[in-house]
Amino acid sequence: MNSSHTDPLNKYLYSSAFYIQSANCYRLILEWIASADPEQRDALLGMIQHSWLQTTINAYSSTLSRMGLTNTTTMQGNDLINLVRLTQILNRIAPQIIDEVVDRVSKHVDDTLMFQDFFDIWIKTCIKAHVELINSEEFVDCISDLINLSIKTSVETMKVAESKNG
Amino acid sequence: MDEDADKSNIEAEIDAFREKYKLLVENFQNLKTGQGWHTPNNVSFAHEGMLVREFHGPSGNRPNPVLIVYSHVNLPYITDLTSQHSLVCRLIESGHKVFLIEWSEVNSEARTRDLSVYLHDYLDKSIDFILGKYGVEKLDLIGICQGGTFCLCYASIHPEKIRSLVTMVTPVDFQAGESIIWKWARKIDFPQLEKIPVNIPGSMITLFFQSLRPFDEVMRSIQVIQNPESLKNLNLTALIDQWVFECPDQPGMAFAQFMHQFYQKNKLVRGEFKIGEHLINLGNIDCPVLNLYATSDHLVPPESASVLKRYIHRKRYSEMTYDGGHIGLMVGTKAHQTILPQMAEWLVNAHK
Repeated sequence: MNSSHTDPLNKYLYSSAFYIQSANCYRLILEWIASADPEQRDALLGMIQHSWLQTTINAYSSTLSRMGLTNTTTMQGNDLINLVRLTQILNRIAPQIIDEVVDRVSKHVDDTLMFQDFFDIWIKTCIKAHVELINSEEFVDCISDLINLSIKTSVETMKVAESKNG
Repeated sequence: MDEDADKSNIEAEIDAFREKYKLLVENFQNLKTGQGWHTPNNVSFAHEGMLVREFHGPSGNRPNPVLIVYSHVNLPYITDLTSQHSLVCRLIESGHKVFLIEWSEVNSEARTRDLSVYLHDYLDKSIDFILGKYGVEKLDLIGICQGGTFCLCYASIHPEKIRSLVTMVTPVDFQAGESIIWKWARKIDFPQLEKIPVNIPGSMITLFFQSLRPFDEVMRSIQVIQNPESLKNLNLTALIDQWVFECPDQPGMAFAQFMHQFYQKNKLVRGEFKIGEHLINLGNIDCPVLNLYATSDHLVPPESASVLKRYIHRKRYSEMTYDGGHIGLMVGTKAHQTILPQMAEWLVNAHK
């Protein structure tokens, strides 16, 4: 999967990968409904969390990489701490999404949803959760800290350039 | 439940999807969607890289010129994509003579340009040029998004030059209506950037907008791939997609000033924003004003735009709402069949 969608065709590629990845989640959900095996449920949890995290982190990491903040070779101290904070917030949100989707799909035991119908539920749940995410103070703090670090670095670089130019 | 059958159905759906995706990519790659204007035009005035485009077309018997001022945050060609999706065309169809400002490309010299340069220098010189060319004292102004904010400031400083003003999806109270831009901007150190400005890469602005609604973008992309009808409109889709990814670089000082003074301090509605010697007082605007805003706008909430009515005399104020989003008002088929032709007609009649 491409890690950023910075042009239109990339966006379709990225979205398609997300769609296909969602089918893997749906297969696991169907298995979970059929067997109620706790181990399979754990596998399902991990899979959906992975999908959610990958999509969201991709969206942000592409923004952050433009500011030089997600290159692990150059990332230091506070930058890394902020990225870890971001991942932790996203990790906390993922189970809520999974619960909501599984709950809705479970209601269709005798009339299994077409994958497209599952995807509609899945993506709308993601949209709803994402709105809550970007409006949360914790998340805004995290992003603000990242951007402020970038500003500080850029301003310091500019000061050096200005002093060299007299 | 037949688990195997279900899995087989999923496979079939995915296989069908892959075929549609391939078809979309093939069609996409065959498109010629270079950035450009649909309507023939020429540059009739240029100043420090800023251009004033003059669009060609029958201007009927209403020679009073209209100037479109678009946001600096995106490129203005969104106002003229195709004949069916062109604000420029809607205006020409109503007999207007249309001009548009294209802000200059941002280079190292732009870093220290503040908002007064954009208002006092670029906008004022453009308006004086058009007034001189047509031998008229006033023109009609259409400001879009940030461009609308610029136009409000300008019309409050120079009411004598503006015959009527249209604001489209224009933030006025920058903190109203749960504005996500304000929420994110609150804690960012724009004052520091204002002191030592650094140009902001356009790619960062693009990715900021994309990051606000990544799953909406996924959903929309899947709808485009899945819907065979979308291939018929792929040219328009591709033009809009391309435009979304082309945010220009932002001039450091002006951008920081806009975010600090307007979003963080909300100085426009507080009557505290100064451009040079001029304190911006929206009450100075004495021309007819039409305020267009979108009810599902996630960038400029309707509450942020609609508050304008408090500052304009009620006899001079009108508004129209569009049931859609920020970009939809500019490119939506519905908008081009209803609200935009109505706006063009309003301009014809506003001063009568």
